[in-house]
Amino acid sequence: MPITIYEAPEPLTEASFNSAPRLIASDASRQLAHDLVRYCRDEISGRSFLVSGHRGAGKTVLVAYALQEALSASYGETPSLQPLFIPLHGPNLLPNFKPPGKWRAGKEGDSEVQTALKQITLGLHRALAKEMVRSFRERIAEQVGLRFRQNKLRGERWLNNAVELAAQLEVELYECPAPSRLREFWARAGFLNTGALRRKQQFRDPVSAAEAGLRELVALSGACEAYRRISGTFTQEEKRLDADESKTERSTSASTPGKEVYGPLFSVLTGALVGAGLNASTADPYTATIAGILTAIASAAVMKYSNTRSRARSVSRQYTFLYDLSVATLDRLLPLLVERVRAAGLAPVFVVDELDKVDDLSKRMIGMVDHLKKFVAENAFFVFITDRSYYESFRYRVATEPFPPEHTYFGRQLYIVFRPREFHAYVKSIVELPTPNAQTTNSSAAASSSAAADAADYPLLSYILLHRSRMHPIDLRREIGTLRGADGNVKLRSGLVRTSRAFQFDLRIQLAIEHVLNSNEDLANMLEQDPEFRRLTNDAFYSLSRQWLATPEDWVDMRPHASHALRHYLVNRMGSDRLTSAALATAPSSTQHSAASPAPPAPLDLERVSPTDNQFLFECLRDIAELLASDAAFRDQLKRWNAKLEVNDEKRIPQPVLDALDAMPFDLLQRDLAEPGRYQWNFYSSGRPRTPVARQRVNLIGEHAGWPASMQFIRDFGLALDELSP
Amino acid sequence: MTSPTASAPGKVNFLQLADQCRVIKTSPAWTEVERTLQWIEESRRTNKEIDPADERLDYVNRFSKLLRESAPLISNALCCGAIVGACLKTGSRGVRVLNGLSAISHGFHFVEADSGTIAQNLEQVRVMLAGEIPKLKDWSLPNLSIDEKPDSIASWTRVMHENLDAIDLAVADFTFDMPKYQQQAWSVWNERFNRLGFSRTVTFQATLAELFCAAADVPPTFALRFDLNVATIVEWSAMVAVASNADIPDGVPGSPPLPAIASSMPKWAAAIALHALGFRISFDDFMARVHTRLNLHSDIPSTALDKWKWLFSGPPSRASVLLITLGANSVVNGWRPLEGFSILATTQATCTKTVQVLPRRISDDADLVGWIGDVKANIAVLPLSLTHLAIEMPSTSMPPTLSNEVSDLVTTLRNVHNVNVVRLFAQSPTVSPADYGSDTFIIAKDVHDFASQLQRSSSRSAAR
Repeated sequence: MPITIYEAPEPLTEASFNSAPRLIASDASRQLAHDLVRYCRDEISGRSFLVSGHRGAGKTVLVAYALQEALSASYGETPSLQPLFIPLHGPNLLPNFKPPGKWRAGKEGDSEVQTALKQITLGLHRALAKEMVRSFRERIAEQVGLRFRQNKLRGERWLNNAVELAAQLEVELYECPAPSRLREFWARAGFLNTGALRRKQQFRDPVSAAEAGLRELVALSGACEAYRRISGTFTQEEKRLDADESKTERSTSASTPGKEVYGPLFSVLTGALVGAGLNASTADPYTATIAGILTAIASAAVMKYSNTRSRARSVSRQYTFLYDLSVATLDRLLPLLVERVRAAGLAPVFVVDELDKVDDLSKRMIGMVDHLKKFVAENAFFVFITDRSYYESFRYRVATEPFPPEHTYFGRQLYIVFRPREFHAYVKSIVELPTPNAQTTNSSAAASSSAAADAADYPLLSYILLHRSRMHPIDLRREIGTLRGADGNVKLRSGLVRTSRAFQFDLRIQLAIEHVLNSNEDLANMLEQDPEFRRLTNDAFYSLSRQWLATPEDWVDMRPHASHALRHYLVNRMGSDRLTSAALATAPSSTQHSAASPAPPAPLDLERVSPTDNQFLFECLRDIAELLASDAAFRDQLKRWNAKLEVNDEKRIPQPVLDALDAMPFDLLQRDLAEPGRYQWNFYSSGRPRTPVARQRVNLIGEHAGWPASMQFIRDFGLALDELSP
Repeated sequence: MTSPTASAPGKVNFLQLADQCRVIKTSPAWTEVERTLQWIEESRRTNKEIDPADERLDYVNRFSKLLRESAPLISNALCCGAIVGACLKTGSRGVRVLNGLSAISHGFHFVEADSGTIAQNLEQVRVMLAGEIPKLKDWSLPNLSIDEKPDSIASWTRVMHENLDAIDLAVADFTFDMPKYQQQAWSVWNERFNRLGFSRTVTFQATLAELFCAAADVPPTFALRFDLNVATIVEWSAMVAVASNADIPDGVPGSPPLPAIASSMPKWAAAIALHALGFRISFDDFMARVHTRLNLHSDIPSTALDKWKWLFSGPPSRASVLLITLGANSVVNGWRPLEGFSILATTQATCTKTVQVLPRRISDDADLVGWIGDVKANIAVLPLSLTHLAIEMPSTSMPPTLSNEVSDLVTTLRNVHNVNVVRLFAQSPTVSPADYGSDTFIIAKDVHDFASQLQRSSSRSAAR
């Protein structure tokens, strides 16, 4: 049963939905996840978070984890929108290629706000398209089994068509299809009513529920239109023509079909009849002939008569409306788009990362605040991820200026900092001691030697890892990676961590730090009132071991006048805007009295750590040094603290950890008798004694000269036990 | 971590005293000391020079110091272990001592105790033993120390021999009434549940009856041990089956066959086990069906049952799962119950028999007796309000053919009760997914992964 190291997938990756990701839980992660869930449940309309922390503190992972939490919560019983993760790259949002300080950037003619709006739109379109395609495919996959069960052949045919449809949708979504084309996709897949998204949305009425698919189409076509605006030149014109026309026409005519033939014939026949009549009555052929001719002429004249009258009036008006589709209008369009996306069942969450790579962020952020505050803080959920330097300047401005603009811009400001117990819990979730298979107590006693030895090693590992990483997440992950063997198990020999001196140092310093963090009531109260003060305590408390690793020969000066060095060190760790990265890199040796100390910070920077806070931390640090210089008192205090933990029903220090301290009683620091308040390190971090006192001490405890006798004693005792259990 | 050398079975050694039973301190680690001794021997044999400043020599010195300091504690622990382990009546003295010592160590949580507490606990055990075994009435712990004299170890060994012989003699004609101890142990647990409900955080100190049961490897300690947090899903599930009188030939891998221990198990243990597994059946259902069926009134007075309202309360489960495992080779064997999920494990062989005894909701239909006794007759009543049926599959071979009974059960649960059927793999399967039709796949090595994927599949079904 070896100790295994679990390789957790990162949150929001495909694997993370099969195998739970692991995170160092913190107040920051809990708060962010809480508000995200509320946003998805439509309990708040929007929020703007500032998430800060040291480089490598796990800011991005924390946000992704919170999103995954919200996503998991959206699967639960309570109706909820599904969070839509929209990653935005800070340096794209606020590009650096224009002179810093000038409130113009991006493409010629675009203001910095327009650049930001473009990026937001682009991100929204991309995320929405991706999610829609993913859901489209997922819904198809869900239907496959059902259709196959109904009819295998038809099922196969349906599947082939459906997957092709999904692929086609993916291609066309980036070509901004028309709403009618989108509708065709939804209709062919049968999603027009139910929609493609998986949702547990609260619908007001059956009509709303039935139009789920149409809402998706509305959101998607809106996003496509917005995407068109920023992707090229997009113009739209609307023309309207109003016309009024009246025409009156009166016409009289006598015409008969074939009149050309029958007209003359009719006249001749009439004339002939008249002539014949007269001839018969008068017997005068001449008179009859003349009368017949006259009648025929008169008849022809009657057949040609017609009459025509006409009157016309016309009025026309023409309107032309040119849509303003310029980028500048995006600030009006985006809130509407977000609303539509929410109506479709998705809650957009914009995550702006890598802001620490933006030049002059503090000033440029204010510009953005002025223009986009309403949208960013109230209409959508925004998370801005910055490093510690921005946070420190922000905090400083809030403390020194009356309500600076950013004060209300970020609804919440979170600084990622962890408690030791949160680190311990994380290590235990990654470094796993497998549960023994169902075994009885007796078979447990007879279980393999390896399992028992590993179980005794296990509690020490998290203390060792915490100290070696200085409670810094990325370093912790590195340290865990170093421990991992090719087979995925901890590669250290069983028992080594409980025995080797080098590991005992880690254990001792970590326990001293945790003890002061927990037992100093003033400090506990301070951390209770201002949890972010922990960032200073962590820096201060690990300054001792950083110095030990970098310059073990140096004295540790804890005399009152040396407190200013701690203040310099703390300010340098803040990494203010004015400090260079070179100054930050000198961290390990930057504490007290080291020759390698960086240049002192500017007086203005120094103000960021108040003299009172500095003095308080300096005193705590002195307590840690004292514990490391007095083994007996240290162990005694630990045992009393442990008993107190038990009474308070808190997690106790595991017994193997205390056993390890008892087994190797030594002082890690040695007091300078000539100069009270000064200490020197008794050992190198490798375990080798550094001072004559240490060498003597090790020899005294160990009686190295007596090891053959010790060896014999162990052998004899072993034989005795063997003899007693035949 | 790389393994130390294995110890000889049935022999007390430093590893067992330190790392397993935690009688002596765990640092310096015996495994490292043992390696150092081997290194020294090797160096001597090959005439290699040993650097006197080598840190490893310090390990040897420190371990020798630890042994000297711990000699009285070791002597007391061995004697107590010998008496408690004597209830086995079989095996070598070494086996008996180790069994007894292991039971004491677990029962008093030596893993969390310092030397002073361990000494006190051993004295408590002595007092209990003196009260139980007449011939040990005046017996006291030897408390044998080892000084610097050359023959000190020899005399320590001699006196220990005398003590252990005396113990053997004292317990030789004593009858360890195991059924009585088992009953007492269950009563103790009953009383704990009355007092504290079901608390995973509270640990209890063992009574003498429990120590004997643990040493003899019989319930209740096989499943409940001395810490409710330790028992696995498989163990709790076996308890449900056995306490409900299901005819199960073998339940928990590595444990004695269940019928052998079933007679001692009270019926109420089934209700406790179901609670531990996360199932929250309604009080009315319990009273009307479970109580009657399990004949609980013969075990617990009804007034006591009123105190057990916690059985029916708790957060609702996100999924209720019947998990058919691969048995001895199952990845599920080490899984512990997970809050928010109700999981009952069984095997193909025992599946239908287990399902037959599971409680189900009350039905107004008189024919539906509320128990699956006959699957067909009770088809309309879903046991335990299951939402999922998970079937564990081997990852590397062809899917096993399900027996007719299990196939019927799968069909019934899927088609009649609309239960989601999922296939569980310990790793990505090499067979074609088409072999499993439309069932959901879950690839999980631990219960957390299993639960999160289960929840995901539930949400899909809900969305559908």
